Amino acid sequence: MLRTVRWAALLAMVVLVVACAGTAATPTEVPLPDPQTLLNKAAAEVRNARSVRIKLQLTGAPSYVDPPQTPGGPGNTIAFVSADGAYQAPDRVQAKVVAKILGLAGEVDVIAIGDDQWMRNKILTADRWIRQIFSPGFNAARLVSSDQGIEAALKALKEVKMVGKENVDGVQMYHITGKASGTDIAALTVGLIRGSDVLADIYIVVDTGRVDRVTLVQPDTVTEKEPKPTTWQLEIFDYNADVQIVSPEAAATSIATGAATLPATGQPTGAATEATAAP
Amino acid sequence: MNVSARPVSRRRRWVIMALILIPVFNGALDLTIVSAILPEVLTRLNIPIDTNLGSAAWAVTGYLLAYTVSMTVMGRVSDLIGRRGVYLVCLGIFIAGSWCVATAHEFPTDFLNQFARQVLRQRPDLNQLTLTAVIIGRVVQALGAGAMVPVSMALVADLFPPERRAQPVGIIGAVDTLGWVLGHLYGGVMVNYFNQHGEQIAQTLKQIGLDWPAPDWHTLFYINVPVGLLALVLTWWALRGVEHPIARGRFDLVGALLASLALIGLNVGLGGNTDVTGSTSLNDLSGQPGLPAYAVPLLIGAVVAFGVFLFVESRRRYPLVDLHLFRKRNVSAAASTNLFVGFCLMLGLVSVPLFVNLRAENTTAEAIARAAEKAGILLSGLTIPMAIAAIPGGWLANRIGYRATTWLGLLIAAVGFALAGLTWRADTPDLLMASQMVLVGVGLGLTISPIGTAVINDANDSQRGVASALVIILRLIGMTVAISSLTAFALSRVSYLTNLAASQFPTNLTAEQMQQRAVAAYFASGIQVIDEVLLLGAIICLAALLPAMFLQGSARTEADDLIAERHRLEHELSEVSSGR
Repeated sequence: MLRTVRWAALLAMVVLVVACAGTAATPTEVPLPDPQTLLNKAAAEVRNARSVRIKLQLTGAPSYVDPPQTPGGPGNTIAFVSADGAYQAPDRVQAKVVAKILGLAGEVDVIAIGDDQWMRNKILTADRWIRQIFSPGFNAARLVSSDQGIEAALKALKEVKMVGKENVDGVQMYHITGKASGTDIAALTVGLIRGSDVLADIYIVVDTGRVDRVTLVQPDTVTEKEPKPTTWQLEIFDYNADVQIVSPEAAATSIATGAATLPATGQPTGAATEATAAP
Repeated sequence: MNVSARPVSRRRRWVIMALILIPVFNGALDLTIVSAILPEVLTRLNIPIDTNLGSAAWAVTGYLLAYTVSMTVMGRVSDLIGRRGVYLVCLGIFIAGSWCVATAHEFPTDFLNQFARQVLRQRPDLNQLTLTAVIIGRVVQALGAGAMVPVSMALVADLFPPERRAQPVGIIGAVDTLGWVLGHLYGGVMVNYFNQHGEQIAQTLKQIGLDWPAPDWHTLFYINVPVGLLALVLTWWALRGVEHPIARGRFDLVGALLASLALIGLNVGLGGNTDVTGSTSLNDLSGQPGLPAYAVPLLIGAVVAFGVFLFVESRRRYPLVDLHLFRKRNVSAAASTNLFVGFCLMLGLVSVPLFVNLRAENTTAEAIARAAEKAGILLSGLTIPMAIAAIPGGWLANRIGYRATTWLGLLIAAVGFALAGLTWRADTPDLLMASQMVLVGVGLGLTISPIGTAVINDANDSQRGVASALVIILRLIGMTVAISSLTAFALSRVSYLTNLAASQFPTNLTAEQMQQRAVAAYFASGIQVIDEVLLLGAIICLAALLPAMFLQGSARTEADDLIAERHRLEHELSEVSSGR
């Protein structure tokens, strides 16, 4: 009996520790830095990075990639779900994108180098890379450009406030809040956010001054059918990691000449960043 | 153990029976409910079906596995610490699991997210975490549900005197069978109904002050919570004062752990799971038909655990499984045959929904929901005839013996599988498919009675319950192994065939042409693989003839012979007295 009670107490403690170790604010006596200065520095870190990992997930009301439905015509058929990828300076991105097309989720591997794009899907392309525009007009260079990219988006925030220093998943971060119009911060969601107002929560790592995550909430997306607002969770991490994104053709050539190893699939996928793609 | 009837009134006994049957039915219903609605669940969770079917299959495999383990262990636990407590705790576990599945996208996902980030230092995909939460919830559900049947059967023994146990035991068996036979039909029909009328139901509820979201697949699991809680309270009340006999001996924890390890190792090793949290499971399998890298060590581990289990059990004073039972020829033969029957049953249960979804008219959520309903109806073509055929199976076992009846059933099922494997194409009429599934169902159903009766009649009085449970457990193991091995086989085979077709595409195709051909190749590969799996079913049915060959005798007992003799004498007497 005593042993049972001990185990129960231990279990209760573990549950309590896990439950309480979330994002509780930690009081600090040191004066907090100016939030706008922190944002500017963080934006510069993204702009100057050789590479970063980017993870974007959407919860709540759906956000459509294609325009809204017009009378008698199609529209709002492709809903974004998530993207997990890597950026390599100056203009390369590889990502695993999940989107719902006519209600059914599908996963597409995408490589974008400059204005060129390649995609791969188990069913649509028989798991082979084909050169095709997946996201019209997308260019990875714009992601970090000072006038249109993440830097511009961070600078476009209004009513910026410092909430405090918080322990987020075991890392000390500055928590900053702000507001913006969707258009101004579209770069944070690869252009997927449309015009509505957005509430932003930004977390910047204390030790490095780098942005770790940004949560964007669109309150006006709430409807009777979708009671939870569209919420974007952007995570930026692994700054300056060793990432090499090459086109499928280049990878196939390098494999043919013995310059690269075969990926796990046994095919020349061309994705030299296979190792970076999976979390 | 004192097994004499308790001083419980007749009426109260049947009230208790009625109450314990509710969770038995719920648990059995949830055994098969997911097989038809899995694509719908994945769609609603934003999980890509093309790359996650391997992981998602654990919603079925995990339940079966945990159900089997629980069924093996909890009967003995209830012997040792009392039925009431074990029954109520297991019902509570089932309710908790149902709640976890129903709310998988809320608290369980948040908890797993915190755990992954703070303990594992990962940045997980939230939708993948929700799928993991569904699987964990299913396993928890099954740990509770698996105990319902053996503990209910044992409760019958506590409540009824030996001469009156047959009827309640039969009712429990019938309700359990009814549950898993109807599970997929219920799931498929309800999901399609919710898809069509969910908003309307939500509006109606709102008018009476209940601001609830529109019902969907979650609702099927939410329902278990109030129903289970009601049963929990009423059973707790009804079992007050009922004496609970406590058996002597100790619980064979080592045996239980070894059996569980062997089962889990076997299933994971056979490839029931590729990577539950990964998002590229199908890609990992591409071009690699066969077992994943970790499979061989796990399978070796499973064999070792099973070997140690046999060693330990043969030396225990109070073993989890009395291995002496297998010295009985009919017990061994029936148990082995049922392993194959379970494999074939699950093969049918998996192939139909896969085939129906593959040829759904399009990939919209509405089409997926309609496909779930159609899969449920087609699967009933297998399961309802199977349940019905158990009756003539018993009659035949009386007339022509256990072996001949089982052989007949297996041959009919083999013909059904073979016809299905040879004829299922993109345009095969539903009626033809249903008729072939009826053949399979009738065939497998014919084996139920001879297998069950052969065991009961061959075992000693004190071993009958355990022997019967063993036969059911072996069928469940067959089902579990089927789904884990077939999932891996089918996924890798589809990838292989698709890649093979793609390697023959002309090099000068435009992107659009490439996509059209790739989709066609994937579709053709899927159909081919399902046909191959169905043909495999025919082969397995034929293989089952071998252990069934060792069945001997018939269901005809000495009592039957005496009754027949009496009828003969009465007939002769009446002839004599009528002067003929």
